[in-house]
Amino acid sequence: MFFFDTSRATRKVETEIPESEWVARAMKGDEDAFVRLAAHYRPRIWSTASRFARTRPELEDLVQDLLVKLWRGLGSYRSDAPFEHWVMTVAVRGCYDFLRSNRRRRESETLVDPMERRDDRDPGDERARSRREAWETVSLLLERLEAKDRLVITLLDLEERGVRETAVLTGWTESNVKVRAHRARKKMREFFTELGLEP
Amino acid sequence: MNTNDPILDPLFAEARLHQPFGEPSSFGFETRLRAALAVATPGFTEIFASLSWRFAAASFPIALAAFVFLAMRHQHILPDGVGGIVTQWAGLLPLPI
Repeated sequence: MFFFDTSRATRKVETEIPESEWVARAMKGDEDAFVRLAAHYRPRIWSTASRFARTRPELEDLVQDLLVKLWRGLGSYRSDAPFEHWVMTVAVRGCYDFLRSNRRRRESETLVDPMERRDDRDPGDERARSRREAWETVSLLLERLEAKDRLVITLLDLEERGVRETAVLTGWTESNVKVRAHRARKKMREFFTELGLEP
Repeated sequence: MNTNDPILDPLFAEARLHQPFGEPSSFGFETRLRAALAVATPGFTEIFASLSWRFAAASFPIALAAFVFLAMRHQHILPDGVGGIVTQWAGLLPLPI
């Protein structure tokens, strides 16, 4: 008979293990360690990926695919850089691949925002509605951009990452990021006028 | 990133506060992930498919050099055209051709 709860004791010890140890274990093929890391980074990956998916099931599949990519690519991680940087680099490049591979299909679909119905139930929440409408407008403009342009605008203007960080995440040069962002914004302004939208 | 754009900056400022699909649900997350990881071991075709065109471009001259080396080693002469390649290499096959 046990005089204390061993699972609780194990959990307490596990929380004291530094992330680098979990990463090292995952790199040796420890699935439990990877699942723990995945659970930790999933909200950040979800947040970034949600800017590229059109429906919640699509977003869930995308995040799942990105986590599998991370598991497969663990061997390429070099411990001299923070693990989070590597995770987000793989995630961002995975999102870019997703955008490219789905572009043709996306052109024939209409944008559906699942938050629309949720917000409409509470008509008093003007602030939330304003944000949703802004997101719908931005999405409409982003949908008409090339995958690279959309990625750079999402990282710079929606995720508020700097030029240097965006360059690292995408693997492009800083000047390439700046030029691409400049051109993408110009195209967005043109689309904005073409569609007859009002600021 | 603020660009002083009177149209896009206010839109971005509002849009970035909107989470299009809310927060991720933790229900069934671990089960789904473990199931995906169980079948995530890449096969030969997947590894081959994941190789970039740069790799293909780099390996082509190596493969060509290896072919020439093997041809010279076995036949002491380079094959002449497709017919020559077939004739030369057919002789190496353990088949009654």
